[in-house]
Amino acid sequence: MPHRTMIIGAGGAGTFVYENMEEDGRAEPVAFVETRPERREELTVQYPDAIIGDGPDWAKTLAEAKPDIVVDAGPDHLHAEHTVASLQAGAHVLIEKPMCTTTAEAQAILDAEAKTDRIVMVDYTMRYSHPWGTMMDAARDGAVGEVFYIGGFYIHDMYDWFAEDGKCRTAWRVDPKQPQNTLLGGGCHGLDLMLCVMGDEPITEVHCVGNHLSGSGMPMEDCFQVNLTFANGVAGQIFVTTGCNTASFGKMFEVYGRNGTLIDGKLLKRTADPVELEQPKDNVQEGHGWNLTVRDFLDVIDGTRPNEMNSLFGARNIAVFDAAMKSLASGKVEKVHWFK
Amino acid sequence: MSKLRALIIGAGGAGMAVTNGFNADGRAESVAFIEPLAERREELAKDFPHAVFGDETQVLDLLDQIKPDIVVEAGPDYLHGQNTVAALEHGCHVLIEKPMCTSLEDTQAILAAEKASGKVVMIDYTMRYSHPWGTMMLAAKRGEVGEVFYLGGFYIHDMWDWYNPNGACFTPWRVDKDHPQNILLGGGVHGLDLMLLIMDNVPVLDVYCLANHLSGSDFPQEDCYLVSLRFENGVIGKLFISSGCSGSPHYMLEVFGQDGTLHDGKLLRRGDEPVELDAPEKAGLGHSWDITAAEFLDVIDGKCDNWMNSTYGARNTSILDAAMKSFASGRPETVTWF
Repeated sequence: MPHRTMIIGAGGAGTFVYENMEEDGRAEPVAFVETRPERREELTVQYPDAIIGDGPDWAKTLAEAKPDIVVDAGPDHLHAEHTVASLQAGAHVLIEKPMCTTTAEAQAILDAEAKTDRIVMVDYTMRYSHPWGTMMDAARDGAVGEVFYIGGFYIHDMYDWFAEDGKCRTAWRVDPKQPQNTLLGGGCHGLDLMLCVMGDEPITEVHCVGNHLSGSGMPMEDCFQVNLTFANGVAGQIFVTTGCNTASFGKMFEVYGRNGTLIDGKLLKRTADPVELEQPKDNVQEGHGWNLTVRDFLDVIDGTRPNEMNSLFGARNIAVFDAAMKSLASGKVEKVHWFK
Repeated sequence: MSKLRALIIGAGGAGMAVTNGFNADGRAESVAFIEPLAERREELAKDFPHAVFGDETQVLDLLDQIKPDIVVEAGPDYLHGQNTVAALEHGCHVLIEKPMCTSLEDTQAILAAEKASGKVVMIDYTMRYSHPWGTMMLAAKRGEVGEVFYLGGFYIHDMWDWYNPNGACFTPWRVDKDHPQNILLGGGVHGLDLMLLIMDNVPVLDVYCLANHLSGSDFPQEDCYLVSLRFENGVIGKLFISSGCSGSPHYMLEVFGQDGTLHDGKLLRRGDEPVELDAPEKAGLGHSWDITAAEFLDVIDGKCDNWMNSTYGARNTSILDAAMKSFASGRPETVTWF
């Protein structure tokens, strides 16, 4: 029997996940939580037997559907509440990144997960991407030797997501009361790749500057520069801009090591011409790669694969950005709570 | 009309390129050289049989003896302050290879000496003439990206050849254990200068700096820096410097504005294909020292404004001085704004 799945947020991510689950065959959508009435109507036509609730009804829908799996692809600030409740209801949870939005919420998810035998996976889809995931794998394989600097970037013109007339307008992102924090929502991609390369090396402190001068429709800061100090002295940075006016998606990741540099999908070395990294034949997906996340999530549930996008990565990612937001507010360097 | 007589301090790449620029221009000639390497002085004596030569301890002697009109300061960065002040006090115009100097104290001393002398101080920020970096700077100043909200300056330069005794461009003073070149100042100045030009007179309030020396280079101090800057109007900036990197992804400036983005020699705008910026007619190759040399002489002749003046040099050094203080203290530091 396919795992019975409840989708919270039937937008881009949620839809890709349930479509890929259906294609995989090991899971099927049986319930949806969706705030947009027109989208609920579409889902009702497509899935007449499914339970379909409005956003505020998510707890009722969860209790009624009793799903095996919850996919939380709703607003970032609700991820923790949804995830803890889902775990308590006995569901495995696949969370669209970021895992949550504060260190306290990360701790609550870890605590709830520890009390169950359920799985929490965070959908860090860029690990599957080319060239960024390929560069991460190369760095982990030692292609650049000992790392001394590492950078993550989210340079993404999100006009189409923020503006009233945008092609991908997502109302919750620009909700004046709870706007998406794109340092967390976007910056988490590059930071995740960085954390993967650095293994268990803690980030001890961060300093963040930011502004909201781009003229985008985002009701909070949309440009952030975060400098990070790793315990071993490696320097790191995260640069995020979602109000930029660009024609293309910018770089996401770079790694500098003693023996080489990984940048823009290339391996640079002092005595050789740049080498374009080859796209792996398997395990790489253009764009967000939700199909591979779904495959891996179901494999983890089946016990055939370790959970490499686990809640510890999610918690560390959030703790770094939580400290960064505190730094932006205080103007000071802030310590990072390092989850172990 | 007699040529202006120049004393060149440091007959390396920059000093000789300026000498060649003077020769090509015809309004100045190098008549004396300060050069620490004896074999280099012997080489120069063949090419400049009428010139006077001295080592690094003889700057004041040659200033007194030669009484030059111009001093070109292209020696070790940490000596720029004292040599420039001495040159100004001897009534010379001074062209300083970047950075202007290496501390706030030296900066203040140069400004005071310049004011007292009435002579010209120009800092050789050659990247202003470069393509695409200088071209991008000019595009931003023209308003191609609208109101700026973020700028980044970079010096990502594998300097193994300059640091290692076997390197093709080995420069001993850069790796002098007592006074190594600070590459944040020596390299980071370029991107920062372009950023300051774009931002015009908007002050940088404070900076925060991370650094390390983990690259395995032969350099005796930090060779990787990450500096964030806050401008008074809320714009944020960044400098990233790595001279111990293996391989150089050449990259010096990026500018993000409300109406577009300047990146890698291209203007990016929502809904449009990226536009490659055209190289201007007056663009130099590499360091463009020939253009600086000619402009320096034009400034002395009163033919053009000094757009690479000591205020730019002072602001640049002051910001990087605050960055070094931030690295030492581990917290953001306030910038003295000249």
